[in-house]
Amino acid sequence: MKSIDEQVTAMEALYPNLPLIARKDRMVLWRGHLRPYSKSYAVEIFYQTPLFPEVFSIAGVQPLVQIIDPALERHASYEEGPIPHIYENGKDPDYPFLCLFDPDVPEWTLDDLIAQTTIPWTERWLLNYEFWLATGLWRGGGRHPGYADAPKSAVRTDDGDLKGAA
Amino acid sequence: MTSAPFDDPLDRILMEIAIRVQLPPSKHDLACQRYLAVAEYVERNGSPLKDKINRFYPQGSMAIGATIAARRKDEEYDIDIVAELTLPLGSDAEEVLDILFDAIRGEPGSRYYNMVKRRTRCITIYYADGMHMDITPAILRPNRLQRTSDIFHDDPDEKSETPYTLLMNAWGFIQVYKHNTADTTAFADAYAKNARAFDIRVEAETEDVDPQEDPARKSSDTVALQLLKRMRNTKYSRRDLRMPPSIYLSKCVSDAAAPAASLTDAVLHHAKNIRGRLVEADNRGQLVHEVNPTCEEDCFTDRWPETRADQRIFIHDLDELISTLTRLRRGDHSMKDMMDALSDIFGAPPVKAAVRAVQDHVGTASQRGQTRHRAGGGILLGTPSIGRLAPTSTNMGGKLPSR
Repeated sequence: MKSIDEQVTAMEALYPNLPLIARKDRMVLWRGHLRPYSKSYAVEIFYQTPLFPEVFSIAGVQPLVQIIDPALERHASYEEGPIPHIYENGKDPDYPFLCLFDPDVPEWTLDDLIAQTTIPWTERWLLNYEFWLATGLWRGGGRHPGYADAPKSAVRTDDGDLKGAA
Repeated sequence: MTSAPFDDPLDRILMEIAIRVQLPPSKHDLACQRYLAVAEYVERNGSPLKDKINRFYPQGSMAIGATIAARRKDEEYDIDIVAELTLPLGSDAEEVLDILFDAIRGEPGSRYYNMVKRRTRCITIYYADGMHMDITPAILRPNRLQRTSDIFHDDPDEKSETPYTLLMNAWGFIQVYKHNTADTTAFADAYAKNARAFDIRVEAETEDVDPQEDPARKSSDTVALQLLKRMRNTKYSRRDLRMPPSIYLSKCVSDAAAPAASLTDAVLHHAKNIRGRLVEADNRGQLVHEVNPTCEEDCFTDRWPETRADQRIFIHDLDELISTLTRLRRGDHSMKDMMDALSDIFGAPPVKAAVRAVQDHVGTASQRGQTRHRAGGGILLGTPSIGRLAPTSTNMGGKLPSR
């Protein structure tokens, strides 16, 4: 399992535009801008390493990516609308979490660096989202599993501080 | 770090627009077959031009590989051919045009009988697939630079107007253009690869296409010229005005030719150059004036601009093109913003199709884990030689599980 220090070091090296803005114990929060092509997006990435990895599912411990500005647009009539490939955020519906990989395979594990997976996947998702807004068609691929329970833990407080998992 | 051709999405969209408005390579081949067939036909026994054809050769956009869909409608292409006749020098303009018309039209029921129209300087053959072939009769002038010829003006609908001859050397200018815009860079290779791929998709159901046949390969200057002509066609389709002639734009591009790796750079370079020439003439209170460098009597601006207002209209069009491309390249724009802005310039149908093509490219690369990523952010779309790959991933959805 990659440590928080390793994740932070890799992010500093590859994405200095996504600085670490909060860190507490096993939790980190990066916030900055990504520009997959022309348009710039304010992005936040929250990550918490599990205390006991063996008892958590990958889906449950994955890094959480939110697009902060501009807020993602909803278009119910577009292919895969209202927004393709997200986890709904029951607490704050305007800021869903991006659903970037298949946790059942799993395409991401605790041994992967966020800077080499989650962030380029976010860029991919954003560029495909831009085309989706332009054409109403989703060409970024993906699939839809059965829905699981809503998230209960590991969330940010409104002031950007970090709150421990349940 | 040097970018590969079409790494930049704006470049890629412009390329896809150019591919969609140009004469596809397979139709270029078809046009060649057709004009050779016409040449053979007018030499048939019984033709009034039997043994009076020296050669047929392409002129204008067809000859320099810059043919795009006609102003009137997408899918229609105007092909310009010179029919070099061995008629006596000083032949009457009306007679020359009439004899070529008769030779092509033939007898009732023959191949071209219901497809031809006698026009002011040429005979036009209208093909069912939308291709129009303008065949201009010409007679060689001796003691002049190679292929300098007389062409003929006689308006069949204006019989009060006196017919006359004009001197031209279309072939000479083509040689100058080709020399100036020759491009052996990776741009031409990458453009050819994409143009052929599109051509196969479009033509596969109707025609047997050899994808390896050039003229798919074009310089950045010529592709920029195609886009400038498309912008002109789009703008003037809403105006009842004569538009800047393609030969004038070709002369400007030839004079300022400079191979570029970026198509956006090439379009901006040539748009600024043409604008500069027009503004310079306008500031002097004059109309822009360009002649064929191989035949100074062959004036490329004899019918446009007629007034300073004409040239100012096109200056305004170029200003809009330059400011839009500059803004799109520099600014913070979504793909939707880009599509809308480019549609205003090049027309919605090819721009939407181009954006869809780039979307498919991005989508496929995303699904295959083939997107390449710059340090600090940014996706590259071109040749896979730079940037970091990221692993394949599958977009999912639904709700997060409990933690």
